[in-house]
Amino acid sequence: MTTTSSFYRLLTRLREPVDSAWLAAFRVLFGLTLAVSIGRFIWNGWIDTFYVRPTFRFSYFGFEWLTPLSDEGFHLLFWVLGALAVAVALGFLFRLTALLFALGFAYLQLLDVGTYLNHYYLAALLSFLLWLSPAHRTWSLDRCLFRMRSPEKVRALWLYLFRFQLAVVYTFAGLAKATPDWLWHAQPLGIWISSHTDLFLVGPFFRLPFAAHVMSWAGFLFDMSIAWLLLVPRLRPFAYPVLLFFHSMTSVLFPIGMFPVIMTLGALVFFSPSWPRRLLGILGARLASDPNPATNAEGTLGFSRLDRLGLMAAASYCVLQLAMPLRYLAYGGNVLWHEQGMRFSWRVMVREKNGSVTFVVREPRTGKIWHVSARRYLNPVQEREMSTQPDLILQLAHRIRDDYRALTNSPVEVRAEALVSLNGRRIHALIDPNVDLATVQDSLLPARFILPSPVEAPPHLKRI
Amino acid sequence: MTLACLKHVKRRPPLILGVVAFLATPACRKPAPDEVVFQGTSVVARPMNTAGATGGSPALGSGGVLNRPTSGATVSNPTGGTGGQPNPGSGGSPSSASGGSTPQPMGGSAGQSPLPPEPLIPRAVSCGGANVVVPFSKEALLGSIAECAVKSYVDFEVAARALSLVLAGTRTDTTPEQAWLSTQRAWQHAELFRFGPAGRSTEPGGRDLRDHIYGWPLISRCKIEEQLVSQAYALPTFSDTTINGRGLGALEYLLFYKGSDNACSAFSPINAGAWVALGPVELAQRKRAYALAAASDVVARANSLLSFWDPASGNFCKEVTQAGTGSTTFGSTQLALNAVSDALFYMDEEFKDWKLGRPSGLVECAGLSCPEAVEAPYAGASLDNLRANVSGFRSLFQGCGQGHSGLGFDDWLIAVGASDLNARMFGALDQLEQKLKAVPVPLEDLVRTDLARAQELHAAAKALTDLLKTEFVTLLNLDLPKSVEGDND
Repeated sequence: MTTTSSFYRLLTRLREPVDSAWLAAFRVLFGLTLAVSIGRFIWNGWIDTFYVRPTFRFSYFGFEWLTPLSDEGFHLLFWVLGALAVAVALGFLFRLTALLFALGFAYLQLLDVGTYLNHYYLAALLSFLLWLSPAHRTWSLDRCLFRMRSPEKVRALWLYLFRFQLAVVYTFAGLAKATPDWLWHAQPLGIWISSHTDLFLVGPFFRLPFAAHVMSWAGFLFDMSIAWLLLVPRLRPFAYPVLLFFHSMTSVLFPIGMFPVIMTLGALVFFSPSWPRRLLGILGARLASDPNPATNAEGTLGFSRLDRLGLMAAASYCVLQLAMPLRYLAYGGNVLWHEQGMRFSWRVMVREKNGSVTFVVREPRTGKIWHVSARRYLNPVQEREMSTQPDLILQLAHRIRDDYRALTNSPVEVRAEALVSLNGRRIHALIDPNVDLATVQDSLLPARFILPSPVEAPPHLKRI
Repeated sequence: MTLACLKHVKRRPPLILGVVAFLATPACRKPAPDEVVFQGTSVVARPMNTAGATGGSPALGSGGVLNRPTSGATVSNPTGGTGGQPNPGSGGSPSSASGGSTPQPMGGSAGQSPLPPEPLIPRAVSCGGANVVVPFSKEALLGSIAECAVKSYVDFEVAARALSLVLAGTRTDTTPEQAWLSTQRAWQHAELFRFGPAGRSTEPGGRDLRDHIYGWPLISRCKIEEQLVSQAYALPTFSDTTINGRGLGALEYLLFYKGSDNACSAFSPINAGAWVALGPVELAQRKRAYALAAASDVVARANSLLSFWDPASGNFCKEVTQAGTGSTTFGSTQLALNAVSDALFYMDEEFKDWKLGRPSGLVECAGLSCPEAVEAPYAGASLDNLRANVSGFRSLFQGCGQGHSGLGFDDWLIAVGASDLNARMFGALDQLEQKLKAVPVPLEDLVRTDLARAQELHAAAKALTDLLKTEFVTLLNLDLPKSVEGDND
């Protein structure tokens, strides 16, 4: 009975109308951020580097059917996505433009595992959430064009859903740091800051022996707590400046692109739903007030069967978001080493890995051996990604198997000599060199061709 | 006017008029330090930093006409002058001339006795890098590396100049073949310093000069043979021709290959009769003339390379040594260190995979072994090249002072507390060096007779590059070569 009443209390809370100004602000800021992000691809020539030039692409399990566009198609797609992002920001034909943007962006992410980045994944998730949300209800061109009269209110569900998504990112990013490497050995942060000892102001601090430890613990505590601190109105004025400082530092120190911007702007969802109106009010803008405030939440925001389905979908989404980062537990071992359960888990900047991989092809009929370099198939960026990720090594091994089988007209064996250094440790073999990868099928099951991770501690290095 | 400068002029048409006007002025200017001047029928490189080289008048003669082997065509100085324009180093007289219809061998015309060997004075270029080991600093390391790079280029320039003089007939103390071997050895050492102006134009400060000096593996025997027939080497545009027919690689073929066949297909225009018509004497003469033109081009490139580094001209020294402060190329010391550390990776692709892996049948070779894939098949110098590469690697990694003293990446590893890795890298390097030293026969013979031993060399190289690609870049937080700037997380 108590459970049932709690559930209904929760439902009631989720259906409460809240000011939609926060969602409109998020739409505008997120849309513009993604437009800039797309623009960086165009400006920096990354469309060619990451999408056009690669002759080999690593597929996501289950998405092998996705095919790349033509050269012109990729360029056109990026320009279209840039325009769609701006349209989303403006709230122009929002339902259509937001959907097209989300689909196009997701296509780019799903096309090649080698380009996976946590913040692209987050951007894709937020794009779909935004499309589903009534983010065009306030301050949108749609509202003007279609003379929308609906109140500038949305269900609290949307607010909690966006807050949940951001909190999941921060909290799991924090949990990912709860490792001996990060907390006790201050690696890989110690390695990373070693190249920034000449930075203005902070450089001398980085040279101090305890600097990496201080920063590692600070990063861990920040990630673990910031979402929850932002939820407390009294702590928010202190927590947000800390967040700004944290993301500014990460932006200076690491090449993480738009991630700090997305998180800094995204974290605004933790503020009161009306924060944009208050801000605009302070600035004296006319948009500050709600022109059509709802008088009866029940009447204006009914709870239909469709809404119930939506609630169930939201609950499923939340469960999935909690399960994905935890799936690594099913594999055992060190996820930073074997990488099974690594992606979609918000393990942001927690490892420094470099590998040297040589594929050894043997033709059993003649005994002839070839050493095949990944360079023949991959660009340097792809090669670096592949050299430390077993599933990518397996995919390339299969391609090499196919090529050499065609070349020799006979079956071939493919083995990988993959030596990897994790967080500065001595190199260890990542892949069992005795396993013929030509016969191994890719799957989501624990991979037996991956050797156990090294057990020794990472090195403690001086910074000069 | 150097060839490299000419290249830039061609890319920038608006500059041509200015350059022409400049060249047309009386030759009372101080010649560019990298200038190479034709004198009569001989080509000689102007000695650097000598009194004669800095005067307003031509230092090496009065600007005689150039009798190039042409068929009546007007030719000009292939080291930078353009047809019909004054040769800036030849006293203002046009360097172009009406060549005789009968090709003549380069290196001194009949009846003209060669000049006595003149001392080859190295260009006094220095980045001023102090080889101070203690206390270690990244800035000091960059200074040391810059100094080592310049030192290796200076050594090469002297060797290349000697080769050019030998081919011109003005030095007779060695054979052209021996002079080429010395030049090649010097360059193979310098290959490891492939950053800045020597590097690709896509890299910071890159000018593609390495490829102009030594385009390997882009050497085309057929292209060279076509140019032997067409005598393209005698044209003023020779320095603008593709790199697969110029540089030290072309010189190797021209000096060492004694056969009278060619590598072009039966459908090539030269096999319609022109090649056969040359005859052995004519072919030998043309090869010698071609070699002289190619050597002159190499000297010009070497001088260009030094000029780009020279604090008195291009001053790339400053770009490296003042990275993060006064450098416009490198915004931080780390960026400069990334660029110079990229040069170490020559040992992975070029050295391990191409020079060793291909001949020993492990890389892109259909047969049991591929002896024809050795780097220097005509001179039989592939093993020497490998040894010189290892020596260059050691200079960059360890230091280029006496006995490889001085600052190198090894000092950086020790300074950060990675002595264990440092020891293992030296272990791998020593092992590779010893194995190379112990090989008694040319590489092409080794892969034919003792393939296992050749493959051991490859394995020894891999042991070194495995460390380079993993722990070395990790512990020093260096970027891997050709890393594209992109987002990460």
